[in-house]
Amino acid sequence: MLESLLEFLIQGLVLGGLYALFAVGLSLIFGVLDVINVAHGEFFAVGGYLAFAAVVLLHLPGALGVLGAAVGTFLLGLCVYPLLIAPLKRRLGGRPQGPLYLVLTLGLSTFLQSSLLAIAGGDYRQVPPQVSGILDLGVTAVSHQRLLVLGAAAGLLSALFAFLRFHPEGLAVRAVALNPDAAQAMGINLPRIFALTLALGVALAGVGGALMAPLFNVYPAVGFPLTIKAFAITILGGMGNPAGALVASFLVSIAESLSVMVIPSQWQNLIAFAVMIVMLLVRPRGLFGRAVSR
Amino acid sequence: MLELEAVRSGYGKLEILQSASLRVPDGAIIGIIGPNGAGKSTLLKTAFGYLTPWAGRIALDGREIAGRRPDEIMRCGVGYLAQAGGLFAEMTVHDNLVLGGYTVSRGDKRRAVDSVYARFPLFHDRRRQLAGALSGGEQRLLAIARALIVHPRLLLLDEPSAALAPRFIDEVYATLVALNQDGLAMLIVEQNVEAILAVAHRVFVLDLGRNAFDGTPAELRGSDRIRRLYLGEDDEDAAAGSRP
Repeated sequence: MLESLLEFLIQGLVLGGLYALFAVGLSLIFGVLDVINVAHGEFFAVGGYLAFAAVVLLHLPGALGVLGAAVGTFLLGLCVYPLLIAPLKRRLGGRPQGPLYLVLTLGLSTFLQSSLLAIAGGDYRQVPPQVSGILDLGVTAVSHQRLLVLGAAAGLLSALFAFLRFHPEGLAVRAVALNPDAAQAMGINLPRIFALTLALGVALAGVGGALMAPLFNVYPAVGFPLTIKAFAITILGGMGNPAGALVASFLVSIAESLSVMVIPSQWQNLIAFAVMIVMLLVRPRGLFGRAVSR
Repeated sequence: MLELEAVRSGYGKLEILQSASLRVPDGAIIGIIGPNGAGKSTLLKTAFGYLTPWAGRIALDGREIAGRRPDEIMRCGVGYLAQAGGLFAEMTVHDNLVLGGYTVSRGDKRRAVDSVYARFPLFHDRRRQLAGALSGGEQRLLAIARALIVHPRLLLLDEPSAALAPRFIDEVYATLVALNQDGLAMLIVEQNVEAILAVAHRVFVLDLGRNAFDGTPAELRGSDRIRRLYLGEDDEDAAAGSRP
């Protein structure tokens, strides 16, 4: 019993690392741009494919595959605001955006998925692990690749939160999330911060895709189920609150992992959505509210 | 310094400013008063780039700035204080000041923040507190202090006395006068007519988005029509006000 508990707990922590990489970026983007990025999962897939291209096609080391995924998705993310969101914003002028941004990112999601399908085909692609080996903890064993996912998530998210807390550009990101008009009066260039935030958010998903590629196969729609789950996580943590999304990622992942001890595993995926529905009905602002600023 | 000429502006299709003109000379305090809905805040937002003018000319030091973004106008030496101060209430006092120096180098920023702490020791003592935890008057002073980090030449202030207790209004205005004596020009939108008339070198009255009066505070006090229409005074009040 104790062995199973520890094993599921460790699985939950690793899964939490992946969820956090994904959901924190999604939440940051929503907090700063007020845009729900439905295409977030496709950046996860792009990260996986970039790792595949680097490691399998170009025979580069796994670390370079992850780096390539980070840089590639960051650069792709940099283009999204100026090429898609800003023109729509200009066209709308002062009119309310309504669901248009949601539809726009849904279109981007379909565009990216179709592009991946056209370029790479629909086959499942396998990427060798960046690290091999297994850590024997006595009660259970964990692959080094899973530990790498957890360690990388911890390192990257610590760096992100330190950036938001201490770096002038990070302070600017928080300022824009809190009060865009006042941020402009400080001399902060909003379009630049919007583009940077989007790029950072989707790069986290891209790194997640590269790190998870050896654990799951890569295919064009691999990120979409994660997007849906990340919505549940961000609602639980408080929309637009990256720290809340971080905590909620681990709450959901550990709850999912431990749940298989008491309910059939086919019900596991429903937990996050059941929590999301309850949260929307009982406490719509989530556990921690919206607080990119803190 | 700042000139607005026949500026029209508004929100969506709603025209608020119909034809407003004014001039802020170097080192002057210019007040804008008028009834609610006259377009006072709209004028300030248009001058600072939050709203794009529909027509007219806005020039800073003779150079057209209409259509520029607020951050670009700020980099030309213009500061803006929103009605509620525009602080980042959920960030610390120190982070608010650091953000005030976003456009300057790290060394200049540190020196400027230190000079704010020297001028307002209260903020040094409370630098780790959330700005939203300060009193209304302290928040207004912090917003002014933050705007000074980059040494602007002109400050645009939207109702600096709004929702403040009288003693804080006096403190805020004393600070503004002291800054003006150091050469800082100001364009102040104000509902508190007495407060602005006491410090302004020139006053503009806006009504329905148009200039209704332009003159010194003394000239405004001497105009029965303006007093009746915009200051809510009748002749007896004015006579009583002039008695010793």
